[in-house]
Order: sequence, then structure tokens, then C-alpha cells
Amino acid sequence: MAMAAPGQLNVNESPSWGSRSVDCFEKLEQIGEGTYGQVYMAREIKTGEIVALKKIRMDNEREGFPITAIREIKILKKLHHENVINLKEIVTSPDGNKYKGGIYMVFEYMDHDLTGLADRPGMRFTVPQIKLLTGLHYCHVNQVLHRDIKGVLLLMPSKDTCSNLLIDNEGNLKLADFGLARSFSNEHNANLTNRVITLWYRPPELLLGTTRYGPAVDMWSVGCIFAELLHGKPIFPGKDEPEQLNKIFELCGAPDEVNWPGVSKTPWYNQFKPTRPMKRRLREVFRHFDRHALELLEKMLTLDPAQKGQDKLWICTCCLCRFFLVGNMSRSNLQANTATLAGICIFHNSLKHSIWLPSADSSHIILYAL
Amino acid sequence: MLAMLQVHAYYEFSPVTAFLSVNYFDRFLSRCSLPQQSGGWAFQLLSVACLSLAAKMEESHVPFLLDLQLFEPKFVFEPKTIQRMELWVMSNLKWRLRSVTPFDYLHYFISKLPSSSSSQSLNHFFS
Repeated sequence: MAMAAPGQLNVNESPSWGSRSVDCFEKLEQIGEGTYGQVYMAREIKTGEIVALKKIRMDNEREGFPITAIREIKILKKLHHENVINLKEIVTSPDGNKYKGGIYMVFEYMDHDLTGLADRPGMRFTVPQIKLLTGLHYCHVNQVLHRDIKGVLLLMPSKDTCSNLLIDNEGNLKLADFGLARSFSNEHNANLTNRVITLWYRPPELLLGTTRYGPAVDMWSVGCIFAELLHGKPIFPGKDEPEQLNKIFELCGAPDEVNWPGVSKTPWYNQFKPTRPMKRRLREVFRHFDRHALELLEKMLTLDPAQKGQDKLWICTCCLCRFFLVGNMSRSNLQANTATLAGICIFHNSLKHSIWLPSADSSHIILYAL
Repeated sequence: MLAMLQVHAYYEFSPVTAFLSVNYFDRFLSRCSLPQQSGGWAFQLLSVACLSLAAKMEESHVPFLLDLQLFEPKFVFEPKTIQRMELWVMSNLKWRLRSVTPFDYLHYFISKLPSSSSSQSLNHFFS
């Protein structure tokens, strides 16, 4: 779907939304299951283009057309970004009654998800990491919470738990599966459900029952994935909610009114509060990580959601920028640490709408405005 | 139509939801005609479907389809029927449910107002 130039009406936009039949596509194989439907790899018969077809499941009669599908379509039509999956069109299946049959969403086809690629030895994750943050930041600027970012899941090889981060053969990463996503608005601060995000990537504020939350929930997920990629396995593989919280406390320390003002007022704090004092062991456990990666991780895995991206970060960002711009500009250093830098720049408020990326030959850093 | 707004008020939906549901209603009728001699059930079915779609677009909590038919004792539709109507509406609107409403411009205009004594100028603006 092309965007019109400023001052022009968008008259070129495809008129075919919802009007074509799924028969225009030839299903090749089932490639997975999303939050609420099967996903097929398919070929468009006319053009030969390979696409992904996601069938919208309509089991729950009481609510009619599923609200998750409405939200996913609404959000995907709003977002146009190279690191967010592109919804091409919607097609219907004509079997029998036209308005009874299946509804399919047509996406661009992506070759891999993060699950498959993480197994490859020698795979570098700096670039996907930046892309993830770029795509996610774009969502947040547009007031969309993804609420289901999940990573490698090496230990859960079942079909419906695959990663939502898709990668094509050119190495482009795209954020997909907006089935749990929703718009948020800073003013309303509405009550949202706390039963979102795959358990391993769910932040402590949701596990403690908070229903007012913001972009910090997605940032926690990114932090978990970041650590997972560097560490080689999921860092918080909890079996259930209590165990999940316990794993978080063991690594990040137990929350109290000092490191997280207001935590004792969260709905389930008394039920889940740690029985013994626990110290933050993040730096100790991940001491083999790059110093700057660790710095970033410290920020992303901060217990108090209100502290993610606050003043302290500004100082740390300044130090890092100076380090990169004035100090060590060697190529290897640069590549290894760009992710860290890009991530930190995103957090830093005055650079909120920009991102730093290495130039093609990695000899210098370019500041991109988003 | 009135019933649609009654239900809207009952659930304290936002003004955008009301605007959108009427928008879908109008746009649908400008493309298709419904059976006139049906005693009005077709229009009522359409209004429930439009309200349900608009609520799903805008609200964070959306009641079940049966609960959207509070004040309408004359006809109560099965969820399955409404779901089919929703699909018919959406395909007729070409899946364009994100209508541009005056609400989209409101914040822009408010931001253009002089910042000092903003409430006064707002009153002036809307009087």
C-alpha cells in the first residue's frame, strides 16, 4: 500500500481490500499457528508471489468477529515500517455462504523466525537487535503496545510457541503477530488486562497484577531476548506465575519500596512477595557479557517500570556516546557494541526520535531520525 | 439508531465509538439496500453489528454480542447471525473501519490554540 506524497491524495491505493477470494492463492504448506489461527505459506496464482496466509479463527461465537483480529488489522494498517510485518490485504473464502466462510490475512512471507536462526553457530545478533528496537520504537511512537514479544524458546518446540520476530534471507527482521497488540494513550491510562505476553518474557509489574501499564512492558521483553541471545538460553524459564516471579527476583533482586516505590500497592504483592531478602545479581551472573551490553541490560531489566528511561540513563548515554564518538572507533568494537548504543539512544528522551546505526562499511555511526 | 445510542450510553463508550457506528451504518446503507418490509429487523441487525464493530475498534472492554442488545425486546439476534452481519458490513466497507473523524483533528486544533488562558479560549472557540 503506497503512501501518497505530502499534499497529494492517495489515489493509487489498491482497491482490492477484502474483495478478493482466497482462491487467488494456492496453499503450499502450514507453517505455524498464531495467537488465534493457522498460518500457511501460499503462492499468489496470478503473480507467483509467495505470501503467508493467516486464517482468522472464529470459534468464540459470543463475541462475533474476534476483537483480537480487529485490533491486529487496525494496528497493522496504521503501521508502515520496514521492521514491522506488512499486511497486504484481506481475502475471504467463498465456500457456501460468502459471509460464513473463513477470513484470511495476507502477509509478506518471511523465511525464518528467531527460533531457527538462534541455533546457527556464529550467528551475530547485533543487527536484529537494532532492528527489533527500531520496529518496536516505531510502534511505541505510534502508541501501540505489542504485548507479545517472545524470543527463542528453544525448550518449547511446539508449533504455537514460535517466535514473533521474523527474519528473511537478506537478514531483515520484522515484528509480527499483533494478535495481542493494542493501542495505548498516555492521557487515558486505562485499565488493561495483565494476562498478556508469554510468561518467560512477562515483566514483574504484570505478574504482580498491575492493569495500568505502558511501553515499559515491551521493553522488559526486549531485555529478556537481548540477554537470551547473549546468554544462549532463556533467562527466566518459569513454569508458572509464582516461579516466574521467583526467577526474576533471584536475578534482579527482590522489589521493595526503595527500588520500586509503590510496589507494595500492586494487587498481588502480598501473595507473591519474597519470603527472604534477595540481592540483585544481574552483573554477577552476566559478568561475561560486554560491559556496555550489561549496562543496557541493567536498564532494560529494571524492576520499577517507572524507572526505565529516566535521568540516570542520560548520564550513562552521554558516557557511551563519548566512548563511541571520541574514543574507540575500531571496527570490531563498533560492530559489537552498536546494539548497545542504539538501544540506549532510544531510551534517552531527547534522542527519542532518532537512532544510531553503523554505516554500511561500519567505519562510522549515522544518526537516523525516525 | 436510538437503541444504538442507548446501549452506547449504558456501557459508557467513548464518543468516537458512537461516531464510528453511525458512520458504518451510513456507509453500508449507501452501498446496499436492506429489505424494507421486514418490520425493521434488518436495520436493527445492522445497527447491532455496526455498534459491535465500532466498540471493538475503540473500546478496551467490549461486551458480548448478546449484552449489546439490552433495550431491544422486539428482536434478539443470535451471535452467529450478528457475526455474519459484521462480516457483510466489513466487506462492504472494504475493511476500511478506521474512518477519519473530527476527533482526529481535535487535538491538533487544541494544540494550535494560544497556551495562556487556554480554557477561556477553548470556550470562545466552541461557543
